[in-house]
Amino acid sequence: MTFDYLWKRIFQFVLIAFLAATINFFFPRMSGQDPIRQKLIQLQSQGVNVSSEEVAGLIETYNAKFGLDQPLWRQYLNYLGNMARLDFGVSISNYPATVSSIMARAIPWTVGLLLTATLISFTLGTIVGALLAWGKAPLWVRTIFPALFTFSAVPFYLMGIVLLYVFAFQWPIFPLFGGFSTQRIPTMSWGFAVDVLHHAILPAFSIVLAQIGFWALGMRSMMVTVQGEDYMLQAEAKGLKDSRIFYRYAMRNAILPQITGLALSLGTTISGAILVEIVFSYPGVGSILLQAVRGFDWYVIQGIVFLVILSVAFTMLIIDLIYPLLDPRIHYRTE
Amino acid sequence: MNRFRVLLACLVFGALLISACSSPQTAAPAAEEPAAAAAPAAQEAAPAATTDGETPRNRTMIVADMSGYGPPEMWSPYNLGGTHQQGVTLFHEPLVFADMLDGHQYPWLATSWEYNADATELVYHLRDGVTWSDGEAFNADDVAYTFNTLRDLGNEVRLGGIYETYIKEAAVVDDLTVKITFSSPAPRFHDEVVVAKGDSATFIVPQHIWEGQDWAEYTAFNDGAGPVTTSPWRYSFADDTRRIIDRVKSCDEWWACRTGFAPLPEIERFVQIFIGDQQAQATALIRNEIDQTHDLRVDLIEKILQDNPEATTWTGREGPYGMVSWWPTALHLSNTDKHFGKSEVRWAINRYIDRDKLIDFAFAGNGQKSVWPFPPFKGLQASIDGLADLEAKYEPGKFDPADGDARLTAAGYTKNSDGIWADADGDTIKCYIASLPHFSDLGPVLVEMLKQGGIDTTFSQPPDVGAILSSGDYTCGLFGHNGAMSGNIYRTLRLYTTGDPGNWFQYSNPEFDAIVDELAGAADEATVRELEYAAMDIWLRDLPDVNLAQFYNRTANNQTYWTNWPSTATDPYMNGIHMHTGFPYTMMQLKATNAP
Repeated sequence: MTFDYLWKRIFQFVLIAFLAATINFFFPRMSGQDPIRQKLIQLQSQGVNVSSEEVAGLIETYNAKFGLDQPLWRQYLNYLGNMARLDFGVSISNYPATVSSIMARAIPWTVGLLLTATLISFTLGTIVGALLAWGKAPLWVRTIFPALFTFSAVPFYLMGIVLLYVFAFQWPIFPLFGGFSTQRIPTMSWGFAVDVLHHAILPAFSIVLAQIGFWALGMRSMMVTVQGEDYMLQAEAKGLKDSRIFYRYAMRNAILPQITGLALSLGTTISGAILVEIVFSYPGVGSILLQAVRGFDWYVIQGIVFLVILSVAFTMLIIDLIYPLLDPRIHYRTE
Repeated sequence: MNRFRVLLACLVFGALLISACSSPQTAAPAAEEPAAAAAPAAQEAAPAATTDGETPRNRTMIVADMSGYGPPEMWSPYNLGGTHQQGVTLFHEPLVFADMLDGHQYPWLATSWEYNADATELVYHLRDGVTWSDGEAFNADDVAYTFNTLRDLGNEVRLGGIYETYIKEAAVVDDLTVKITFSSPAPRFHDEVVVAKGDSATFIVPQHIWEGQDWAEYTAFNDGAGPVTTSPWRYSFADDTRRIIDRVKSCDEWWACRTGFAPLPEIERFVQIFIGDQQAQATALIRNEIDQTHDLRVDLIEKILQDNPEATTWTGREGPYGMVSWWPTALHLSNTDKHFGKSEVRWAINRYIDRDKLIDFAFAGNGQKSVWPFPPFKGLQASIDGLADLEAKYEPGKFDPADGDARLTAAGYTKNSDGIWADADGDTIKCYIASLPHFSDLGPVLVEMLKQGGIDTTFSQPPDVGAILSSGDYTCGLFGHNGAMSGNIYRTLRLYTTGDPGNWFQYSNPEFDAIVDELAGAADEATVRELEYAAMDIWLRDLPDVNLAQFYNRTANNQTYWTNWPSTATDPYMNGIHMHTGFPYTMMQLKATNAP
């Protein structure tokens, strides 16, 4: 790997971040909505008695406070400066709470749930997909697991509703809602950790079930392709053990596109699984993003979307850099 | 295969471990009976604890909400992002509690109050012996400081605008007396702004804590200690999905108990939790996991009553299962629309609506029709009685399709080949209803009725419905009415004046505006009635929007752990909805059952 290549990739990363930030600024504003007015309307629709006398004055005051009364180009320049410092500003709907503090509380829940679920589904799906394409796989693997493929066509939230109905409504072994028990105050204790785990099982399971088929199908296709390669025939001709051929020759070569897919998935985990979080009343970024979109809370939307784009771009950068370690055929050298 | 067996055994063991470890959450409370129902002195005993040190279920009040909560550090009702509905109201004992339905008032931090003859002055006499949770005395300085600061800040803070409009000065007469002078007569200020009822109240703050703070930014979180308060409630925990607030442990820690004014509430822990799905809320109440739901649909309330014999509602176990809220539902019509700009068309729409059928189909008969843009509260009864002649004259609630047809024909409309009313240019009357999700039961029935009348009608629930309606760029909308709750109907009439931000109908009538302006300062009862009558005569003639049905707060209440819920079947002492500012009063009246 050369420094030229490294700099080029870092420049691309910065460019992507800049473009993303720009689009992120203009898109919410294209809606033509007034976020302060929307906040007051939201309060009224929730039954909060904000009088008519107050509405006009509040709109004027807070538009000035948020700088929304300034020309668009000035707002844009201020925004770019803030983004460069990762200062996402103050939430409109939850003024005076900062966007960073709102996201900081939600991200651990979302990442904890989605990262774990994605890694589990990736690992299981990849192994199962590889085994299904492997002629010497046990019969039970080839019989049972194809059924899981059908789940890949079912969205997370629908899977969540079904699981909730079966395992929380009809057969109440898992909780109906929440990230931990209703009366519990979080503490650094084993009991609380188990409680959180108990509440995460159904949401995580709905994601794993819905994703596992996706990973398995991708891996099976790659394994089928790989098995016709000359180096596989040579490995067999050399009399290597089946397990060595499976792991070191077939899987290692077939897994590369899966790794790229995993990087993209991990990058987007930060945005949360909105509908899963809503179905399970689970805390996380997805729920916050939904509330922000409903309330036209531009600053929260910008913060979350920008962070998602940054994390996807960053994971892609990392994957690009470590690809030579996964596949020795790839190298970044100027010829 | 051995590895597989080991893995299977591990999984089974893990599942058992999870089940075992989580069981204390639902385990029966300790056998020791808490003495919360006894005299205050007996309540000083520490609450019986569960094995994990948490408050027992039978001393915990759990209520559910449909939407998540704001950031956990926000405990000020005056922040733009603040709201009293997320536990904040528990930390602000009001001068006076009031039941929004019958107007009955319960003096709390104030013992009495009086207006001068022309309603330009209002004097409050405060209760002696009240202290803040940090030991400082509560007195007239705190009250005057709250009113004067809100006046000074005005629209810098949420709720401040109305104080800026009305208050000239709040002066301390002595430690326990405050005199508020208004910049113009404000005969409804006490009823509509100060008392805690429905969704309004003046939230008194401790001067020694709030002075010097920027009210727009100050959250009252106090680095996790929570708000300084005169109430028996203390902050314990909050996140985006819940609020947990605990009661003080001993009588000495709360002025009302210490002075013998009121015993400690039997509730030791209050939990407000987010359950976003109505069915999940219903199931949680059936399983006794919660004590009060958020507003639910009629069919779910009936399911709860069927499956949980301890469940009850505002009307007991019989319909309509809820209380009329201050938010009557209306079909909003944009008065700037080509067709709905004509009062004949608006009246025709009104005549095509059979409100009885609407309630039968949408709410299974459990509802109440509405022809006025304000609720039928006792506090407004004098105003409503004064309009009886007008109701008889205009018959706004009458279902009469023939009259609707006649009005449209007279206005130059004819039905086209599709049976839809169209004007001379062939342009059809389009009523594309934009609605809040609250009205998903009402909307489809309304669409069918209007279609039968020959109006091209559709129904949708856009996420930005509020923005759409407030912009005036719509044809029809379903929304509730802000406005008056007691005293007189001025605040509702104000919503129809030209240029008012709440005038989503874009209605404009200078004659009407002038009457409402005059009503703003009227203190004399007879004059008020006279002006109301004159304004409503114009309102009925023009009919800016079409009122349909009362909005109900339908919550299910659970008597498994808590009894003495306010109810028309027993004692309707207070509208007992946990979102409302009167709920702390209800919490003080609830009795623990000691159920395991």
